[in-house]
Parts: sequence; structure tokens; C-alpha cells
Amino acid sequence: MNQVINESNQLKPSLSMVFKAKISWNLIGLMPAYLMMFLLMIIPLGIIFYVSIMTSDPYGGYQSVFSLESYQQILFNYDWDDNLSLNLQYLIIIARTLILAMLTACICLLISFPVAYFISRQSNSTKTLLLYLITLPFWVSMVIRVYAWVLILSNDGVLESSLRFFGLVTDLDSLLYNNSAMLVGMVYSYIPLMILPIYASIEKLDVRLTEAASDLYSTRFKTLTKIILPLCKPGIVAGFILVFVPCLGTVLEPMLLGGGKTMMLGNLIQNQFSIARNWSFGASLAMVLLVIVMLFLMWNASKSSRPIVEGSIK
Amino acid sequence: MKISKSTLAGLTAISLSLSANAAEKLNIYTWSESINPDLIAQFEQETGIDVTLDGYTSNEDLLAKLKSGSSDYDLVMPSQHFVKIMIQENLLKNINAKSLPAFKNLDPRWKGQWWDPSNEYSVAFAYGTASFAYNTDIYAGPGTSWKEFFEPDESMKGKIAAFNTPDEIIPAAQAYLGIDFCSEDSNEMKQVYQLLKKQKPYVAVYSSDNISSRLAGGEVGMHSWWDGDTMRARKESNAPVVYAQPLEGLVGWLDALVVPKGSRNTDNAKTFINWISQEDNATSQYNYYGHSSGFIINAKDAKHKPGNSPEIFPEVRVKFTQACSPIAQKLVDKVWTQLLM
Amino acid sequence: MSHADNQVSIVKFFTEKNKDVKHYPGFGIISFAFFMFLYLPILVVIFYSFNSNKIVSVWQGFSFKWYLSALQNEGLMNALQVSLTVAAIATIIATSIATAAALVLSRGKDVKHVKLSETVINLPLMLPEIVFAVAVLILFSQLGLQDGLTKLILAHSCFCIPFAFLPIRARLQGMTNNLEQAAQDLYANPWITFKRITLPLILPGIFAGAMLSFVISMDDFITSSIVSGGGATTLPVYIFSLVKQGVSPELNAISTLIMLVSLLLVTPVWIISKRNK
Repeated sequence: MNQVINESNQLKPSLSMVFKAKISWNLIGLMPAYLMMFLLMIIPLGIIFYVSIMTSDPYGGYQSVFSLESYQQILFNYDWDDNLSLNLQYLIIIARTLILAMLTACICLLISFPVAYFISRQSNSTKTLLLYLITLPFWVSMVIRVYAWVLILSNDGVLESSLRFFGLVTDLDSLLYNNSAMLVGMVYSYIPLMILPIYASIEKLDVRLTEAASDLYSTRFKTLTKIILPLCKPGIVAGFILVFVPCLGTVLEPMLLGGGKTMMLGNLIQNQFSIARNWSFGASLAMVLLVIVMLFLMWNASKSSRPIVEGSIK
Repeated sequence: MKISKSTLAGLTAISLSLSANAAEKLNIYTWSESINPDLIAQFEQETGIDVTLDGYTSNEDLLAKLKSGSSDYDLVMPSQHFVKIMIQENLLKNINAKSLPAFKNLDPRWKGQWWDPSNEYSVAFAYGTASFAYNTDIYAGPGTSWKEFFEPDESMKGKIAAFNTPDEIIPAAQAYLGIDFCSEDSNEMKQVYQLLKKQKPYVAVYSSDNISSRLAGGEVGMHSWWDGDTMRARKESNAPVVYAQPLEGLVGWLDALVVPKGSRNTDNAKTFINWISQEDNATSQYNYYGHSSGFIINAKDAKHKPGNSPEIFPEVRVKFTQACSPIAQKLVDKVWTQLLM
Repeated sequence: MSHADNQVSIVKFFTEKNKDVKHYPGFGIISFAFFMFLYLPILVVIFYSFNSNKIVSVWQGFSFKWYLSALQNEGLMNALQVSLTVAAIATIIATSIATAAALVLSRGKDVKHVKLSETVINLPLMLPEIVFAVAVLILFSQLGLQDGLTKLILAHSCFCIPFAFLPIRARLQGMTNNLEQAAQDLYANPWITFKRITLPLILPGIFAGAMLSFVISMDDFITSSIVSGGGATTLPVYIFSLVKQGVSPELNAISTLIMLVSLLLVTPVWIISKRNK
């Protein structure tokens, strides 16, 4: 290595020396990253797959006995007569997770786009201020932000007390521990991740296109749907992924706002590694989650292979 | 270079802070709010050992943590049947408990018991019962049978709460149905399952956290609870709670101090065990915790006496939970997973 | 101006607005509602932290007492120390690795499989964190790794890498390498070029990456919660355990303090980064 550097110090380093030096630098530069990812992501993912096809130890951990039972457990369970019967409960949890994640992303999108657009229309100093205000809550720990909703929605919580104070209700049934509470919590937690990419897209928009559209007698609505939205697609897609994928595996909102009764895939998996003590089942559920995410990302990648320009002309 | 200088500064700062923590440490993982914080402060002052306290609300939580190797705790407090399981699963250090000074301070009842017959791993700390407590503003009682909890009145719909782990619910159901603890009979466990399933619509939430505010605050009228905790709520916060003592039997537990295999400060753990077993400290702990002490206490200074503490001096029979065989444990898990699905 | 002129200019203002091709009615209202939605919960937490009543939602009187007890909370201080230590070390590790990788991928000659490398580096971003957390849990348990701090640092370093990587990469991509080429023409060796030219130019990117990585590490919950062990409880995990015990004004006070600290940290960084642009 030293020799290479010394040689390249000469007035006219030979091409081959520079070539070699660059190759080694490339490897050295990338090696730590690859090593880290390999050791702490790829191998553990392999271990998850391995554990998913083993048997769970009744006291936690796993035994090295091959069994596909944990995959079977997702769909079937042994009833009291030892017959295999279809069990929809886990499918319901998976479905609930998919639907809530999708709803969260859609709601975030519906809110984020107008807000991002509005911000981009402001003066530079206002823009900076508004962006700052949007990202500020994001730096506050997520636990605290979800806790705020527990505070608001719980029995005798802030919402109920305020409504009672104004004489609107006498006693509300629990607003907490259901799907809606989790949905609100999820939208609240992840919306900044949607706004920022969309905003970045809108900022890159060539204003002359919208002006040209209006010169051609397009209504504002048509301009929005035919010009602006298609051109902002990369930002929208990025925002969607940034919200949808974490929502699929989210754990805080189901734990604090869902109560034990409305589970999502994330805390179902976590349970298997704590009180449920069923590592193998947890691993197979994790594999299912992985597959769902992979499918989504691949579908998304295949869709965006078409150039954007084509889309907007239509 | 700019970066390396600031990196160096950062590393120095961190290593300094880390070395400042090279003082003697003790990591305790125990039932939430079980150890008197004043005693901890006193212990830290007298011994100079820095204590960190983490809390759990179920034995299953503790077992899962130890099993996943995620420990690094020096002192934990499992219940008796879990002590046996942990010894079996090779999770505990042999601290030769019988040679510790603390052993002499133990109530003789708790020596040589079935969960640790050779007295090598554990030292009894506290014992009590698990049952249900009710808020008299919502439910009048009488609290003399498990029937009130498992097959409640229509008026209690959505007003009951139970532990979120099977450990003390299933034995209660078994006591009510007249089934043996740790039954390996599938039909018997099916009955247990059906009983719990019928109770489910009446249950607002399955949780072992935050029981005091949920019950005393009136969010539910009946809650799975432990004797000493109910007593404390009644005495300290004047909560209108009564501890039920079903005639079919109370579920008994005993928590013992044990040292997990991964412990790096075993000597400090032993120091703590010996320290808290001393009569004055044990009495102070008893007065704080409210659960009967495994150590011998000073009866004169004891705050909770049979006259003013009916909760911890039960009149009905008490059956201690057992360490179930893997077959029985699988049936328990089956009942619980199917119930909570 | 006369009264008539005023009327004309007001009318002009509104009609001009209506003709403005870029203005969409309702967007302003939605934005206003959104900011309300965003900040209301936070304000609620702050407001009720001053409630002298132990029952949070019933206002009894103004008091600072919960702040006093929060600052004396030993568990909180321990958790804070753990969080800071882990975040600092993980940031240093992640930023270093990310910088090296970003340099290679942006400036390296004949680097093969750039897309693959980027995907590998960004892996933690593409997976739900729960999967990473349990995977790492099993790995550490297999390795028999006991020390909580080490486990946390390793895990945090790993998932902070993409967060450090992206700003640095963006910065590098935004820079042409004219200056570096000029340096090369002046016979500077690669090392000196890096030290004197490249590094100072990408410093803002490195700084942004380090800040992002630090915040992500401080805020992390899922991995820290699953991997936590004795004495290695991070701040979010500690706060979570308090939340499980129930709503309380002390928790509100703790939350407000943390928000204040975040505000104090983020604001200057924001100002600096805006000035740099």
C-alpha cells in the first residue's frame, strides 16, 4: 500500500499504478459497509429463516428440530380434538395491518399534498419557517408523540374532560384501544415522512408548465391532475413507501393505542419473542412480513420503470 | 484533520464517562415497584454500589428475557415454579444459598422446598396470593367465590380485567373447576378454555400493568390482582377496593432472589441478598411492599398485622402453583393463545 | 388614496387571486388544520405538565413540582446517559462507514455494481424495524453476547448507516469533481486531494449525516426495546415503561423537557444548514 502511494507521488504516475490504487481504495471504502450489513443484517435474516423452520422451545428460544409447524400455525391450529382446523385469527391480524398501513399512507397523502403545495407557494422565509415547524415534532421521540394521544384519548383523558367541560357528553365509551385510535396515532407519527419527499418534488416542478397549461385554457383542476400530480410522482411514491413499509411493522401504536385486543403484525411478532415464547412462530411471521414488503417494493420498482414523461402526456 | 480531532475529543469524552461508571454495579430486574426505593438508596450509600432497577409485571416476561440471553442482570425475582424451570433450563448460577448469611434469616418454612431442595440457587424474598379485587363502588361483593369472576353477572359486562399472562389465571380456573394444577388431560384443559372463553366478553382488557389506577379509578369493577397490592391501595390511597378470598382456593406464589447465569457482579448480588435479609431492612421492605416477607421480620415494627391486613392473612386455603411438565405447559399455552386470538 | 381607489384595489386583489393559476382554494385551510393537528397533542402534553393535580386531565393549579421530581428521577438520568453514549458512538461508527462508502460510490473509478452496493447499504431502510430487531436478538443470543451496551451500539451503528449515507451521497452527487481534477493536474496525490479539497467540501454533508444518525439513534424504540438488557435501557424504552404504568403529570414533565432539549438542539443546526445553502 505504501509503495503504491509513494509511486503515485512521482511526477507522472503510470496509469496502471493509479488504476490499482483506485481498485484497492474502492474495496477498502466499501468493505466496512458491506461487512456491517452482512454481519448484522444478512446473517440475522438467514437465522430468522432458519429459526422459522425449527421448533420452539416451550420456555423460550428454539430447538434444532426441523418442523414447518410454525408456518402451519399461521393458517391452522389444532383444536381440542387434535384435528387441524382453519384459523382465521392471524390472517385477520395480517389483513388489519395491511389495511391500516394502506389507509395511513393514503390519508397522509391526502393531507400532505395540499400542505406541501401550500408551503411551496410561500415566500422563502415563510417556507423555511413552515418546514422547520413540520420537522420539529419529528425530532421528539416517537414514544412521546404516541403517548400524547394516549393522554388525549384515554378514559377521563383530555378529550373526554374537555367535552364534558363544554357539556357536550357525559360519559364516552373508550376512544382508545381500537382500530381508529391506532390509525390516528399512525398518521400522526408518520406524516412528516410523506410531506418532505412530496415537497421536494413540488419544488422541482417547472412553474412554466403550469402557466403554459393555463395559457392553453386548462382549468386549475385539470392542471393539477394532468400536469402537477404526474410530475410529482417520484416524491409521492417515495413518501408512500416511507410511510407504508414502517407502518406494516409498527409496534408502538398497537401496543399503546390498540390495547392487547387489537393486534397488528409488528407487535404480534414481538409478543412471540417475549411473553408468548414462541420464537419459531415469531420467525415465520417475520418471514411473512418480509415477503409482503419485498413484493410491494418489487411491484413498485416494476411500475416506475416507465418514464414519467409518458405518463403526463396521457 | 478536523474530523479526527473532533472524533478524538468525542471518544475521549465517552471513554471518560464510561470509566466513571467503572464503580461497583448491581443490575436488578424485579417485579415493578417491589423494592423499597429508600432501601435501595440506603444500600447504595452503605456499600457504594450503584444499583439499576428494571421492572417486569409477569414471570413469563422475566423468563423470556433470560432465555433470549438478553440479560446481564445480576439479581432477578422469579416465582417458585419459575425458579424450578430456570434451574432446569440452566439459567441460574449456583450461589450456594445455604452458605449465605441471609440463609439464617429465612423463615424456616421456606428452606428445602420442592423448587430448590438443595438450597443452592434461591433465597425466598416475599410470598402471597393471587386472586381478584373489586371496586365496591361498582360491585358490591361478596367476593367469596371464583364464580363471581369467571361467570359474572350481566351487569359486569366489559367491567372486568384479567392478567395478560396465564400463569395465575389458569390455576384459578382449575381451582374453580376442581381440576388439578398442571393437568396433562386435554379434556380438562378444554373445560378451562371454555370457561375463559365464556368470560371473555366481560373482560375489558387483559393487562398486568397499571392495575391500581384502572381498578381504583373505576375503569373496571373487578381486576386480577395480588394480596399485598390491593392492601396498599386500600391503605395508602383509600381506594374502595376489596380483595376477594374465594372458597375454592387462592393461588399462592413465592418470589425468590436468584442470580442469572450471565451475571457479572455476582458478589454485589450476594451482598444485596445478605443486606436485605437483615431484620431491620426486611421489616422496612415488608412495610413498603405489603407482601409477607420470606425473611424473619421484627413483629413490633411491622406495619401490617393480622388485625388491619386481612388481605395478606388469608382465611381460605392457598395452593401454590407448580412447575408444569412440557406437556402440561403446552396445554396451558394452547388455552391462552386460543383465548387471546 | 381615495375611497374608490381602495375599493378598486381590494377587488383587484381578490380577482387577481382567483385568476392566479397556481392558487388552489382550500389548500390553505387544510394546511392550517394540519398544523393545528400536528401541534395540539404536543401542546396538551406541555400544558398538563404544569397541572398540580396528580390526575392529569383534571386541572387543579399551576405547579413546577413535576419538573423537580423528573430531574431527580434516577432511572431517567440513567436512561439518558445510556442513550447519549450509544447515540454518540453509533453515530461515529455509522458516519465513518457511510462516508467511506459514499466516497467510493461517488468518486471511485470503475466501481462495479453501484446499484447493488447502494441497495445493501440502504437495507435497514427497506425492512420494517421489527424484523431487524428480532433478527439481531437471535443473533446476539446465539453468539452469547451479554453486554447490553455493546449490543445496542452494534445494532444502532448498523441501522444508522443509511441515514448517514444519504446526505453525504447527495452532497457528493451535487458536487462536480472539477476541483479535485484540478488538484490532480497539479500533481497532488489522492490522499492530499482528499484531505485538502474533497473533505472540506463534503463536510456539510457529513455533518448532516451525523446529525441525522444521532437523532435516529436517540429516537429508536423497537430495536432498543427488544435488545435491551440489564442497565442498558435507552431513553425511549424508559419512557415507554413509564407510559405503561399510566398517564401521569411527571411523565408529561419529562416529555416536555425532552421536547425542549430537542428544540434547543435542532434549531441551531437548522439555522446553520440554512445559512450554508
